[in-house]
Amino acid sequence: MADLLWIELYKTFRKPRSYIGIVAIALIGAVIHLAIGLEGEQYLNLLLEQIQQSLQIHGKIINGNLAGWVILQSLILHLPLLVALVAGDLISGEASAGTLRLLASKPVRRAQIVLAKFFAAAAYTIVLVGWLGVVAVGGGQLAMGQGDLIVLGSDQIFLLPAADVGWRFLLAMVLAGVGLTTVAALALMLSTFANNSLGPIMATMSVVILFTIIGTMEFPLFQQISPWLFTTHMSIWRELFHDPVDAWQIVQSVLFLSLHIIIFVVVTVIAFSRRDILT
Amino acid sequence: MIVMNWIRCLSVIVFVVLCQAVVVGQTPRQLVQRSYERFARVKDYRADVVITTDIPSIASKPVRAQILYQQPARVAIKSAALLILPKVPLHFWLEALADSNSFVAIPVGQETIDNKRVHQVSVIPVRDTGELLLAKLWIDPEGLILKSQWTTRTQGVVDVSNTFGYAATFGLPDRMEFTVDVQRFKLPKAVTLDLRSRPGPTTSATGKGTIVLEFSNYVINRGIAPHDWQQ
Repeated sequence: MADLLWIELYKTFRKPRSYIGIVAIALIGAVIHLAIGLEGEQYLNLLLEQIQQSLQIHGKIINGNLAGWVILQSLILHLPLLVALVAGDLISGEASAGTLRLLASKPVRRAQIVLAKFFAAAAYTIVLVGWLGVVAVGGGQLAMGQGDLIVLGSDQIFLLPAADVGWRFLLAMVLAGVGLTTVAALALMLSTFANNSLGPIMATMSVVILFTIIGTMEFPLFQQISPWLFTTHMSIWRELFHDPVDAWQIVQSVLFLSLHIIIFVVVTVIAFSRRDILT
Repeated sequence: MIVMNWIRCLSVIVFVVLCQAVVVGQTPRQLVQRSYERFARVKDYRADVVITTDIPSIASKPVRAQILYQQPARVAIKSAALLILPKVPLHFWLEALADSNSFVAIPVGQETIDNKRVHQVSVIPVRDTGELLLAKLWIDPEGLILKSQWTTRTQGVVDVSNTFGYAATFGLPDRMEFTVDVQRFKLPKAVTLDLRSRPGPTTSATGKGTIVLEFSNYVINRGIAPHDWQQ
């Protein structure tokens, strides 16, 4: 199993497409840092207009922590595309390249192949999220320094002391990793049913976009459906930037996402085990 | 003879009333002026302050800061943390009360605040071009403004409650509580990308928020070096 995993990791990180995400995150991060540094204050004032009619916020609002948080919340919603780009290719890519038959005829169980591919996709997701953390928070603090973090929710503003945000960012990365691993598992599952990469990547993104739109639009019908969509639970990392943190909500969402991962992987194992590799 | 006695009697009554007015009574304008003059003795001060906010849409922890003040209206608040403060300047009332000819003071009555008998005075600016539209002041016999309500042109109604301690001689409070009108904070989910937003703590369009400033370690009239003003 370990050998299989190493082979899958080697294959994953050898593909040029795996580095598209790394480069994209660095570029987008740099652009957002620049924009926040130059015009972040005006943008924030616009969002805080209602509050600033009778109150003033005194101090250094624009800082590395805010820049890090803005990049996280902007990019984490778009990271599924980068994850799907790699995970959606893991089985369908083998099929289109004609190596699937060779792979499946090895003296290992197909379930082990699927698990190795899943863990390789999860490792790639962790690398991507870790890199996002380095670019967003590390880059932000390097460029703009430390400071208290102002978090804008839909109904509430949270002011978090600078000394109190480090652990929140670290845990947020872990939770974002769990959320994106769910997307990786979905892409891998869809990849089992296709013979080229484009289909599973597009299908994964379509599901993520559809679910996100349902979660974002505040229609009563959508609000009833929203808690049952995994994309809603993918944004649980934001709960860490509330005060007090609702730990039970986090546990519930992690369990919900983990259940999805298990279901997607089990379906993948069953589908891949039954897959006809001769035609 | 009877008329003469009546005149004598009336003179005595008028004399007594006038003496009483001079000794204990003050006109509303004098009361206001006395409050201002008490603070006007402060050329500068610095003080430590703990700022606690209780605003429906904002969750924040108490923050420590240092306040510097220099006449006539230079104020700096030094803190590494983000602070929520009322939009009105800390000593905004000084400008309104500095010129005793710029307002009319009307006695409203007397009330009891913290077991103290206080005079309630309404202050109406003579000109209607300034920020202040109307002020209600609750002033104790020593000239300390224990409570005030300021109706302003752009920032709505601001209520201020003061508690005085060891710096009362200079009219500097130990505790100031600002109560301000705060609009409900609401942003679309599509902007905040907050798919799991909790329902806000308030559903009304506006609410009241309080900001409490607790002062300590006043250093008064000792001068403030120019470099101290830099953050």
